[in-house]
Amino acid sequence: MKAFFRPGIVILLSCILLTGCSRSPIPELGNVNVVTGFFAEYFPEEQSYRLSLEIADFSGYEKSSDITAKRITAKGKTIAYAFEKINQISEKQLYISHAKVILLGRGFQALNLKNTIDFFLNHPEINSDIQICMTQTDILSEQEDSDSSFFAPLSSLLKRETLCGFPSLYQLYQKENQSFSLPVVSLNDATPAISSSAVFSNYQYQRTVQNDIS
Amino acid sequence: MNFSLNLQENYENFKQIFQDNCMVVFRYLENSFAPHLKAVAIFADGLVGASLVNDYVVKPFIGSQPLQDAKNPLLFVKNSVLQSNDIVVVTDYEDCIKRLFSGDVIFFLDGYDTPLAVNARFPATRSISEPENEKSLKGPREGFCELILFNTALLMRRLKNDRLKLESFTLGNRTKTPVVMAYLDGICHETLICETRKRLQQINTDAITDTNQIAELIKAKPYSPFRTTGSSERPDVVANKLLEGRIAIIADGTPQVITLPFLFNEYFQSSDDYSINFYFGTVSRLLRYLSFLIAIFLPAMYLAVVKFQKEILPEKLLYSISAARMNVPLSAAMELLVFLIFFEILREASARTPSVIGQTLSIAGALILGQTAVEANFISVPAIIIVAISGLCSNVLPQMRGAMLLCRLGILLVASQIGIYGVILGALAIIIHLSDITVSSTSYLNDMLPHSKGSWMDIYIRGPYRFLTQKKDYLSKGN
Repeated sequence: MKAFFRPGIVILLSCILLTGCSRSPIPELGNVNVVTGFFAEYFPEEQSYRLSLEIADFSGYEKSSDITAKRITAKGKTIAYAFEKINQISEKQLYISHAKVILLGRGFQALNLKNTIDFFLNHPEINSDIQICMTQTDILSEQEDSDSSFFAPLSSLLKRETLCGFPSLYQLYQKENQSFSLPVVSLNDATPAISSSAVFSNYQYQRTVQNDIS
Repeated sequence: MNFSLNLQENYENFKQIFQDNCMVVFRYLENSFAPHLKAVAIFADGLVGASLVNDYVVKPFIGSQPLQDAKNPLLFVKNSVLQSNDIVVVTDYEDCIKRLFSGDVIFFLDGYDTPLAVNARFPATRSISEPENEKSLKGPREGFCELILFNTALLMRRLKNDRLKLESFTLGNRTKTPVVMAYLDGICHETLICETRKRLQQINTDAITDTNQIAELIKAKPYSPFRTTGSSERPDVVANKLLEGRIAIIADGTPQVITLPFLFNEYFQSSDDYSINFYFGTVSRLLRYLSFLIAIFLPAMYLAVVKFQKEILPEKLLYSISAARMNVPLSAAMELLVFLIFFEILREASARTPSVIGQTLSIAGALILGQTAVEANFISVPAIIIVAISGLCSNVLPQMRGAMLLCRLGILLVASQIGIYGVILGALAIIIHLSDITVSSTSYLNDMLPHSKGSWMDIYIRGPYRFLTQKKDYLSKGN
C-alpha cells in the first residue's frame, strides 16, 4: 500500500487539475470549417464592412488538388461584428489557422488599416505570416459561380512574390509610421495575378503604382 | 514417513502411496546366488530408460555372485554391484520422492532403512533446435530445451572454465522444480550473487513451472511493467551475459533461461548485431530505438495534432486528414483506442489460432478491419495507418510489447485531454519511473548515459569488436 501512496496522490491531484480540460470545446479535424482566406470590403457610404470567408470543401476530395470551396459572407458595422455573424451562420466551428491570405477591397483605400490589422492580429488562431493584398474590383463576386478555391492559387502566387518584400500581417504591424506597399491582385483569365502595388504611409493609402515590385 | 528395515513393509508403504499412480513400477529382485538377499526397485516409467534399469540394477543384482559373501551387502551393492555413474544413499522421504520423479531408481535392500537412488534417467524430451522467438541470420542455431541437464551442458560447453559455478536449488513446495543459478566466480559481483541467492531461497510457493514465475518473484520492482530480468533461449546469448558478469537462472521444464540484472538498453540489443558487420548492426540497433519511440508516441502525437495543435500540420496533410475524418462518427481518441484494442485482439487471436486457419483469420481481420470499416465510415484511413505503423514497430521489440502497450495507452489517454503537453508529461512520467528502478544497486537507465569510453561502443551503436569491452564495470569485479 505504501508503494502506491505517492503515485496515488500525484494521480489524484492530476485528475483534479486536469478535469477542466476535458470540458473545453475543442473540435477535431473533420468537425471544423477550414478557412483558406478572407475577403474584406468596406463601404464608405454605408460605413459598413462586408466579410467573406472561403471555406475548403472536402465533399468530393480524392487528392489535394480536388479542394473545392464555398463562401460564407456577412455584413456588419465593424469587421468584428461581421466575423461574429459568420461564426453564427457557419454550421461548424471556423478554423482559421491555415488561412493564407487577407484580401482587402477598394473601400479600404479610404480607411486607416490599423484597426483592421489589429483585429486580425488579435485573433488567437490567426497565423501571423498570413499575406495581405488588395484588389480594385469585387473579385469574389466575379467568381461567384466557380467552386474552385481562389485563395489557394493566390497564396502560391504571393509566396513567390514575397521576394519582392511584400509584408505579412505581423510585419505590417511593425510598420507604424513607415511606408509599405501591398500587392494589388486582379483576375487574368480567371487566375489571380499581381497587376500593381498600393503604397501606404502610416497605414493610410497614398497611391497605386503600376508594376512596382519594389 | 520413515523407512523400515523390513523390505516388505517398505514395499507395502510405497504401494499404498502410489496405488493410484499406474506409472510407478515395482520390481521385486532376488539374488540368484543368495536368495535371502531380496530387494525392490521402484521407478517411474517414462522417466527412466528401460534398458538402463535392466543394465544398471536388475541384471547386476540378480547375477552378482560375490554379493553372497559381502559383509555389508548394502555398501557392496552400492560400490560394486549396481552399475550407474551416480548412486546416492537416501535418508529423507521427501528427497526419495524427488529423486524417484527425477528418473532415479529407488533401490530398497532387505534389512536396511536407507534406500539407494540409482541414476537411470532417460526422460522424453525434444532435441536441441533453433528457438522460434530468437531466430538468427548468421549466428548459432542451438537453443535450450526443457531438460535442465542439457541446458547446463550447453552452457558448460561454451564456458570451459573452472570459474563457472552452478548452484542448485529446489523451488516449489509441490513441484520440487530443480533450478540452477549459474555465474562466473571472480567476474560476477559478490553482492549480486548473495542477493540473488537470498531471493531464490526466500521463494515460498507451491509451484514453479516456468522461469517467468521466478523472475516475478525475485523482481526488484514487482509492479513495474518493465522487466528487470532478461530471458533467452539461446546458449550463446546466455554465455555472453555470464561473461559480462551477470547471473543466469535455469529451471527444469522450460527452455527460457533468465539473466539478471537486466537494464533498459538491453531491450534494444540483439545477438544478431554481433553476427553481422558493425555498420549494419548499428543501423539495426538505431532502428530499434526509433521503433520504440514510434510505437509509444505516434498514436498520441496524431491525436494531439488532430485535436489540439492542428497548426503544426502542413496544408496538404491537413486537407487529407480533414477529408478522411469528415463523416466518421467516432472522435479521434475513441477511434484510436478502439482500433488499438482491436489490433491487440487480432494479434492475440493470431498467436493462439492453429496455423491451419491462421492465414484465413489474418486475411479476414485485414479485410474486416481495413477495407470494410473504412468504406462504412466507421473509422478513418489515417487512424488505421497510425495504429498499423505503431503495431508493427512494437513487434520490433517483442520483449517490451506489454510495457509498450501500457505506455502507449497511457500517453494516448493523457494526450486526448491536453494534447502535446500530455505527450510530454507522459514521456516525463515514463522517464521518472524508469529512473526510479534500481536493479541490484544499479540504476535501470545506467547504460543510457554511458560513463566510460568503451561502453559508448555498445549502447546506441554496435562498435567494432576491438573497441567492445566484454565486462560491464558496474557488474564485474574487474578481473
